[in-house]
Amino acid sequence: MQVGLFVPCFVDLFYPEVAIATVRVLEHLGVQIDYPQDQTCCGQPQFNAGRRDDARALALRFCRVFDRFDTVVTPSGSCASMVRHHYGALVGDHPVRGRVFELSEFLVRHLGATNLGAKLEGRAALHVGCHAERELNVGRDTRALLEHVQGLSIVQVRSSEWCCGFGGTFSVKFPEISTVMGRRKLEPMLDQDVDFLISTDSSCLMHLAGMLSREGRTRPRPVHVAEVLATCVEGA
Amino acid sequence: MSRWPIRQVSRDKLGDRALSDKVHKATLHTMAGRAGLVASEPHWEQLRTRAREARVRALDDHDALLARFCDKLEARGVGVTVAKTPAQACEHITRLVLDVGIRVTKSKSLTSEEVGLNAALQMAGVQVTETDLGELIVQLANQPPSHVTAPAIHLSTEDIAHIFAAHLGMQPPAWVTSGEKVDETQRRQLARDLSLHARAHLRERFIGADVGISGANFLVAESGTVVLVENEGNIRLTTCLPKRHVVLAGLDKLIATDADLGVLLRVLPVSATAQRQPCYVSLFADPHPDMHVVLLDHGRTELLHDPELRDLLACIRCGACMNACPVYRNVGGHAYGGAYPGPIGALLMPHLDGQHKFADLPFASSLCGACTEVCPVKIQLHEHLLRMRARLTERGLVRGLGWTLGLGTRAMNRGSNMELASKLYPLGRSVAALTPAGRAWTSSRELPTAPRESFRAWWRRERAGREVRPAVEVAAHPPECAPKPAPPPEPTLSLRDRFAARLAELGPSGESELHLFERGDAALGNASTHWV
Repeated sequence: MQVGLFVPCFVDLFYPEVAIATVRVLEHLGVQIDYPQDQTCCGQPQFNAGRRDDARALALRFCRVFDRFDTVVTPSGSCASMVRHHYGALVGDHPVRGRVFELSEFLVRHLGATNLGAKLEGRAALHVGCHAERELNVGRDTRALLEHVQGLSIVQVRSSEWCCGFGGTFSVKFPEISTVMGRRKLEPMLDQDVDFLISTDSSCLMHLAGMLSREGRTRPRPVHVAEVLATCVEGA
Repeated sequence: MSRWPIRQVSRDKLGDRALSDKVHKATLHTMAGRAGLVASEPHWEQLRTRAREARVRALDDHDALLARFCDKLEARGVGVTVAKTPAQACEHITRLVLDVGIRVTKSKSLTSEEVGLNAALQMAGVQVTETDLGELIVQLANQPPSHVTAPAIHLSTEDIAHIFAAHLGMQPPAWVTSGEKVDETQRRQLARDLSLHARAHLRERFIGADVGISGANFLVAESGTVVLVENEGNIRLTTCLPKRHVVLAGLDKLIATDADLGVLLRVLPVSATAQRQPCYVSLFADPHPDMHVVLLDHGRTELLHDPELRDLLACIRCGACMNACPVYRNVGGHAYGGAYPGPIGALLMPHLDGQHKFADLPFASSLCGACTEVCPVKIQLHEHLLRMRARLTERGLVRGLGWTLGLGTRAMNRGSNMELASKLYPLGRSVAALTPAGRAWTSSRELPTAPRESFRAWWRRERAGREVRPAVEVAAHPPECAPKPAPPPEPTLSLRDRFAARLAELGPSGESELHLFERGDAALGNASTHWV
């Protein structure tokens, strides 16, 4: 099975370790992956800002770049949902739409893998991104994968299902609201003094980690699901 | 019309942590109750589907239903008027009131907020008394309501005690003014005293009223029924005691049949107040000596003919979307500046009161989709927010980030530009605060540190051009089917425990109902009860 790897633009630029972890996990499970180097952005920022012509140009480009794959995997619920859920408004029924999967759902539903042999010692709060949870409904896959991580315990926090407040362009159009939402999200995790904050989405983590480091906090440590799972690979 | 500055207003609201604590507490309480009821209703999703079908049917057949409803009402001597604008509605209702007297009791009506009815009546010398407890509180405090079903959700028991002290001459307990911390029992006692005080105040107004003005939850075309749902009993007193009853309702309240009403009455209280059923449902279907129905258009007909957004008219004003909304919970309803706050308000207000004035509202959302998830009539709220954003942007009604996003789109047209971006980022990061977007981000958050290399650089070095590694069998790691632990054996429960468990299942107030039940039993001199 040759799978196309879609690395969201900001993950490529800011969080290469998340994409590398995704590569290691998929290769560990015997999946052959290819990363088309002409890929850029799915167009979600433009789409969310109401700039549909700009978003359409990027959506058409995305479909062209990934057209040759039967399956496309990405370590982002939000970008996967943009393609699968919202591309209809931009490119109609393009076949690429239905072939894009978020990492957890691909592992659990396509490969049938939940126990990857990953190990991570500590207590963690899990934040399944809103689009992963509500538009793709993959939260249960993420939870199933993490349940099997040796040494890891997922702590239930009051804010588990709340939005982190990132919201793409919302985070800079309404920075004050975005920040307060982030604080409400983080408070119960800080109260419970968890070691890790694990998420399906680096975008949510970018916002929350940005707040934590601004406040000089070193706990909890923000980690992407892919990075947790990649601990199954020797030397990762 | 000047633009509503939601960002600036929100900033002020966010400075008041106590405000968002109050709104969090109340909305999360209702959400938890709702979740419990939904979980105990095995057919919830089917109910939602049927509720949606009922609303869609009503919108499809709107014109025929309106004609039918009007015929039914006229046949039993009820006056019906369609008001195109808020001004027409206010003028007509003012005339209907002044015909009879100057004292009005009013039950909660969001539509009356929408048209500014109270101000219009007061200008004409009419004394208006809001009789819904929450509405009375905000009326006394001279504030607009901040939630569609809980108008005073932004006020604490102590806040209300201060308002009653100032306006109703009630003497609050010393701890309210001293700010001394007290336990929940004392706060509950105060809440009870406040409601009794309000009741005493309202009794007089009820008896003396010349005209009662109500809204409507539904208007059933088939039977010409005006339907009102409530918990306090004030609607019954408002509609039945005064000589004249005036109903003000949006044209969108029409539904086709009594059967549709049955479905909608099952989803409304669960979604609105986390109740399986409301305390009172009033059905006005009989001849009435002096009843008038005023139907408000105010942009609704136009919206009805807008295929993309017509769906917004399916709303039954339960308020679940605002209870679920993390933005609403933090800024409260007043920040939205209109009669309808929260996600549905952000969508409706630009249609009702001007796209320019409320152009920023649809952008004040993180698009988390929590609203869509709870809407009892399945309005895809967050997707409509996206549609509204596109429309407002196309019409040139929003600015901000346009230049940045336009540049981004052009840059993203070539994969190689990503490499350029990765090279420029360390510099860009250090001067980010010079751009408005960068400043907005860095005001409270660090930007990510620049990594040693981008992912694509890593890929080129480590993977590209290499022999593809031999494929391993995909299912090398078969799905781990850890055997599920056997369910614990059903314990044999006493009848009392089973009763208690069932009540807990039924909803958040189950426990107190049990206590009431037991107390009632003891009061009957039957203390040695027959619990088995």
